[in-house]
Amino acid sequence: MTTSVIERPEAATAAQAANSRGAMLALARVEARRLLRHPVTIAGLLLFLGPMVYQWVSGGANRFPVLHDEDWSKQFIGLLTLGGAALVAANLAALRAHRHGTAAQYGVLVLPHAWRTGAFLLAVVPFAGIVALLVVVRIGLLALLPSAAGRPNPAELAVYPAVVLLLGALGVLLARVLRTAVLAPLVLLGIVVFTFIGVLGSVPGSRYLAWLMPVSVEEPLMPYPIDMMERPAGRHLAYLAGLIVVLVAAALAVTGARGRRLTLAGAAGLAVAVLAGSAQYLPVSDAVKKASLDAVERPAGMQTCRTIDQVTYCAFDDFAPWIDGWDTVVRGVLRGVPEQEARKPLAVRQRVSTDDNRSNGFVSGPEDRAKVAEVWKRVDDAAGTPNAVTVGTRWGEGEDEAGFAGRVAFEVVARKGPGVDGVICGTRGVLVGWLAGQATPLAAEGLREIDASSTGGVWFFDRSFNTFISVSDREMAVAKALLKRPAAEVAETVKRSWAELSAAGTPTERAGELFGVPVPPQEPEGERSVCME
Amino acid sequence: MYGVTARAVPALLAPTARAMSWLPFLAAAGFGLVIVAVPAAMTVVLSDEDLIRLLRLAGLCGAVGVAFLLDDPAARVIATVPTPRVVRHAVRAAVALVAAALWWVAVVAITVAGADKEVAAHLPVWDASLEAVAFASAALALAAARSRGSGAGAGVVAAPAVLVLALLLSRLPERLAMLVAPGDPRSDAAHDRWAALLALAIAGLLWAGHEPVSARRFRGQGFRTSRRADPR
Repeated sequence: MTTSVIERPEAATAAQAANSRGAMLALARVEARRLLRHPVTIAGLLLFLGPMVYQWVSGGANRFPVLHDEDWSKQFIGLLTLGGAALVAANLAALRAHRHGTAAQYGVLVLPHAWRTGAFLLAVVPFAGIVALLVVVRIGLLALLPSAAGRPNPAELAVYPAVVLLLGALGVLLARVLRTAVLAPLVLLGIVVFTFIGVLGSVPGSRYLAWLMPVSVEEPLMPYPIDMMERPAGRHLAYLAGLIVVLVAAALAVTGARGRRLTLAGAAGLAVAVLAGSAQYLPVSDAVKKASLDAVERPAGMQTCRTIDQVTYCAFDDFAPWIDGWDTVVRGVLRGVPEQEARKPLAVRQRVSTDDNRSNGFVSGPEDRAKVAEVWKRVDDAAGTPNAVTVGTRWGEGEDEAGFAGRVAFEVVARKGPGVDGVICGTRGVLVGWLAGQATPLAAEGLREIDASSTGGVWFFDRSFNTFISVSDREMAVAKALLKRPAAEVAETVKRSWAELSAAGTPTERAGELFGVPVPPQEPEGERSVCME
Repeated sequence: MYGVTARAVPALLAPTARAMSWLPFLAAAGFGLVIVAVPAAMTVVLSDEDLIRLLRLAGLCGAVGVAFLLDDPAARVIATVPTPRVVRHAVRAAVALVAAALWWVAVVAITVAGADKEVAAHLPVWDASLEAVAFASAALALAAARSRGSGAGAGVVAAPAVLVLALLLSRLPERLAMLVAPGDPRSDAAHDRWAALLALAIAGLLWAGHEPVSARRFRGQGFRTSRRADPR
């Protein structure tokens, strides 16, 4: 008869612990490779990067990025593609033994269950590293553009790998709590639902929910100067870090790990998550409040002005690299204007608005708009740049250029200053439509887009403001006919008849006569738009 | 032979329904119901765009659940029965689709009942239903394709795959957009594409339902070792 001696587990020596650590790291290496090779991971990476690469290759990418907007605005799609991949792939990996019916065999291994769980958790780290690298490379490439505005926030960038770690740890924990593969996809869908509810203004308390989710898609009205940024980026990152520690500790604990260090780590993680999580709701700091007020009421102090020939451009400091882009459009408009008009001083000022009326469908009354116009006028007069044309904080799309070109053209034609709104009638409308459309190729494209998507006329407005000027379809029809002709030929006639064409009240038919273009019949009385005087 | 097969279908229905693994489907379907029921029970007024978004997410939940209904641990054992695999599969898929259809009717009914009257009247429920059917059929086709050779682990692959498909659709360039808001001018063109996706999914389902290896190849080869059943 033989007697076998079974060593008691408590007798494990330091050497055995070292062995366990080595075995765990070896397992983690293998699992990390499998995670990176997993079809879901590859699909996630392709879905995250594919559209961005496609945009760059096809030339549709915006060459005027706002870096402190780009850093966080891709977080949600990163959560879905990269975080979702980590969640599902880590969950499937941790469930593999169960799915293949080999879980019982693992009982004979020297490496305890908790250490194996540790290996699955560690396996997510290289994926997170790759995500961090991708995000840094992406923002680095954007920052290399000479026309990039602002600077990225490292805390916002770190959210991408943090989300991968968080969801990867969640995937392992779910596998250890409930042995079913249906859970991870459903949890991902649940996160999407709650993230989405978090930005629904109509749900009470939704703002609290928004920042408790891995990423918040709460969007400011428009890109603001960095001093005005209200997103609690650093506190949110700390909250995520706390959550990661809690999930890791929980996954280890449910697989049998015990010990004071684990308890302490879990408690510390929980404390950080709770403290940082609630700190996200601290009221906006006084400095940010002051910057927001100043940006609207006294922007001159926050702006850099540059004069190119006779045109003065004032941009918020972070957006100064865009001045050359604006200048291209202004030059384009002035090309079609008589010399003596083009040489008159002109000013362009970047403005922001903090009146958030998104929840009531961008509706604002005439008195609201008059108040805004008054503030703008006061700002311009105080800064010595009267009647400055407004430009917003989004730039690079065709619609931005077309809207700006239209406003510059209207200022050159009518010299009415900023903040006016209404319909431009008669030859003035034709002139504004043509000047805007011939300014730059991108403005021409933007004008076509606006024309295709709007009815009744073309609206020249910045997406961020409610003030607009528009040209009705009748005048646009003449302008579009002129845009089909060589610009130099039209410009010659425009310059010769400038006084008549730019005068208020000259009927559209006169433009038709001058250029030999048929003018569509006028709309019946009652359907006609009310012209501004 | 075909007469026998046709008579086998009604006899197959009840045992097949009993043998299917319903728990993942019930979990997913329950979660889908919660997604639409909670906002419906609350007093918030949601726009048609928000409601369609919730319906799409609920539809995805249904697709994830349906993907698990083709899981059949006994698939290899019963490969020798006279009823062809395509029939057994069709019975399974039919039971799954009927269950999913009943569930979807409940989801849409809850959404419409909980919505603002004005919004509910203009809610494009048929478009949303087409999207949900296309997602569910795609999930079934992916699961059926996965289960060729062995019946295990179909849902494990098909559920993430259908999420990847949904993400792919959400990232399509503007002119090919499929997840468009209600009232969008591109809606009609988008739903033509949805119908094409549905047709593709059904074709895939029929193709994947056939016996993966022809009977002739079995003869003289003995029992072929099956492919690795590891979906990772």
